[in-house]
Amino acid sequence: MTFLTSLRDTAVVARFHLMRSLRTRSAVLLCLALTTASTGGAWVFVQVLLQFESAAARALGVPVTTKPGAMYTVLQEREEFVNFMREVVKSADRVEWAFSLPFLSVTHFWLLLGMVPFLAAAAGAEVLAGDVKDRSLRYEVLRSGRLEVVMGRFLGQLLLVFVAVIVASLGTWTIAMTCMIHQDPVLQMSSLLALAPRLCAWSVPFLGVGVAFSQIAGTMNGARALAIGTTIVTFVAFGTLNSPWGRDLRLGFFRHVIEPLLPQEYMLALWGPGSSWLLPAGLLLLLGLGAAVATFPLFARRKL
Amino acid sequence: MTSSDFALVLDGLSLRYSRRAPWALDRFSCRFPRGEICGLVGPNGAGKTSLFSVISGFLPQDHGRVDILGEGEFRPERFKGRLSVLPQDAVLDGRLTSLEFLQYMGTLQGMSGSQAATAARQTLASVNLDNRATDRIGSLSHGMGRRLAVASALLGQPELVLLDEPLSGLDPAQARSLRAVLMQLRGSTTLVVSSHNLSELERICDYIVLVDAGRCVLEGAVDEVCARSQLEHWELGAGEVPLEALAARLPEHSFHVEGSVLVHGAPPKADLDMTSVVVAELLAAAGVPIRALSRGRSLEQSFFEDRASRVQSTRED
Repeated sequence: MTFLTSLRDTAVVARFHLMRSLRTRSAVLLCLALTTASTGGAWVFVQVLLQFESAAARALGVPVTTKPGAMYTVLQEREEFVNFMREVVKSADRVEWAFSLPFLSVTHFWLLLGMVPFLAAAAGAEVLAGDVKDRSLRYEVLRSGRLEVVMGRFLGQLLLVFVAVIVASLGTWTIAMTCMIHQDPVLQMSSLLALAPRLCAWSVPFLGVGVAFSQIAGTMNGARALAIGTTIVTFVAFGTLNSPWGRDLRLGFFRHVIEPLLPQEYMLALWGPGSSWLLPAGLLLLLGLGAAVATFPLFARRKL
Repeated sequence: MTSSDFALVLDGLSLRYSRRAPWALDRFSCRFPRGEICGLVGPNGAGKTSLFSVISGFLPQDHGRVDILGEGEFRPERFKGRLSVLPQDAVLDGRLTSLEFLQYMGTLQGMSGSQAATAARQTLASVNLDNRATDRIGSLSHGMGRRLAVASALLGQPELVLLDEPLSGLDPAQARSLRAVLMQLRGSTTLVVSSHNLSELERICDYIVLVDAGRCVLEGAVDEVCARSQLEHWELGAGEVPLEALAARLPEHSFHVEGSVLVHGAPPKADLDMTSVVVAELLAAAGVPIRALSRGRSLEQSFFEDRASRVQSTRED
C-alpha cells in the first residue's frame, strides 16, 4: 500500500469511527464522566477559593462576598494561597503562569490530568475487541490494511477524547460563569480550549495501551481490565521510582529503561507557557503510537 | 483453458484451527473459471466458510497457495474494490444506516465520497432496499440485513465476489429477486457462491465444486457434474416401453425403466437433441404417452452418488 493510500485509509477509518463512536453509550459515558468530574471539581475549587477569599477579606477588613473571584489578584500575594497553588500545579517555578490564567482553567487542567488516563485507557480498549468478537471487522479488513484500521480507529478514538475534553470544559466554564464573579467568559473559554490539546496529548499513551490490548484480548471487558490495570501500574511505578526509598533502589540500567517509558515522566512538562509543552506532547504521542503498535504483529496474524 | 481463464486458483490449501484439531482444509485444490457463477457445495462443516476465510485473508493457511485474479494471495491494497466477500456470520453495526454503511465500504474501496454515495444508492436499489436507505440497520429484518450484506459485497462491481450462504434466511420472493441480481452479473463478475442448498445452486451456477471433509472431491461445469449431456429421464404414462426397439435403434445407449420413468444413458459426445427425437418417435409409435422430460441428474443426486462411490472405494482400499 502506498503511503498516501495508507494515510487516506487511516483518515477515512478515523472519521467514520468518530462518527460511529459518538452514537455509542460509551461515548456518552466518557463525556458524562469527564463533565461530571470537571463540573464537580470546579465547584469544589470554587468553595476552596471562597474560603481563601473570605479569610483574606476578614484580614483586610473588607466585606466578605458570597461568590469568589473579586479578590483573586489580592490572593496571589498571600503566602498561603501561593502555597496552595504550588500544590495544585506541582511546580514552584510555574505558579506565576498559573496566576496569569483564570483560576478554574488551572484546576480544570490538573483535575483532568488525573481522570483522563483511566478514561482514555478504557476508551482505547473498545477500539477493536468487540468488532473482532462479532466479526464485523471483516468488512473493513477486506478493504483496507489491518494497520490502517488500527491506526484509524486509534485516531478516531483520540478525536472522541478531544470532544469529551471540550464538553467537560463547558462544565467548568458554566461553574465559572455561575458560581464566581468578575470572570471574563471569553478569556475563561479560550484558556480552557487552549489547555485541551495538552490533555489530549496526555491521553495518547493510555489510549495506546487500550488499543494494544484491544488487538489481542478476546473480549472488550478483558481488554478494558488489562488497559486500566496497566495504567494503574504506570502510576504505581512512577510513584515508587520517585519516592524517597524508590530513588535509593539500585535499579541501575533498568531505571534508565523504565523511566522514559512512563508517561508520567512528561506530565509536569505539559504545564508551562508558550510552546514548551509541544516537545513532551510529541514524546507522549510517540509513546502512545509505540504502545498501540506493540501488539500489532500479533493482531496482523490474528484469525478474524 | 489457460491460467488467465481462472479468477481463483487454490493449490494444496491446508488449515487447522489448533494443533490438535482436525484439518478444516486438507490439501484443497481447485480452480474457479472467470466470469462464471460458481457454486461451492458441501455439507455443514465441510470447510466452505474456512475456505472463504483463507481466500480473503481472515485466516492464514498452514500450507498451500491462493492465486486471486492471477495476482497472488490476498492483500487489501492489491484487491481493494476488486475482491469482495459476504462473510457468513459477521454482524452489521445496527447503529448505522444502510446508506452510511455502504458509503463507508465504498470509500474504503477507494471511491470518492460522491462516487460512494451514488454506488451505495444504486446497490441498495438492486437489492430492493432503496426505500430503507436511511433506516438504522438495527431496525431491519433478518432478511433485509442479509440483503444489505450482499449489497456490500456487490458494491462497486468487484471482479471476484465470494458469497457465503447468500440466500439463507430469505423468504422465497426475496431469494428469487436476489438470484436474479446474481444471475445478471454472469459474464462480468466471477461469483463463488457457497451453500448446502443444492437445488438453489443448481438453478444459478455454471460451475460446481463439491467439498467434503476439507477436500475438493469433485469440480466441473454443472452440465458435466449432473451429466446433462449424457442422461435423460422420461416420465411416461401407462403403456409398454419399447426397450428392445430403443436398444436396436440406439445400440450404444443404455435404457432401463424405474417405475414410470425411462432412464436413458447416452455415450460421451452423443447429440442428445437428435437422439431425443428418436426416443420420442419410438415411444409415440408404441403408444406410450410422454408426460415430462428432464436431462441429467440433480446436483443432490450427483453429490450423494459421488459420496457413495468414495465411501465404497475407501472400503475397498
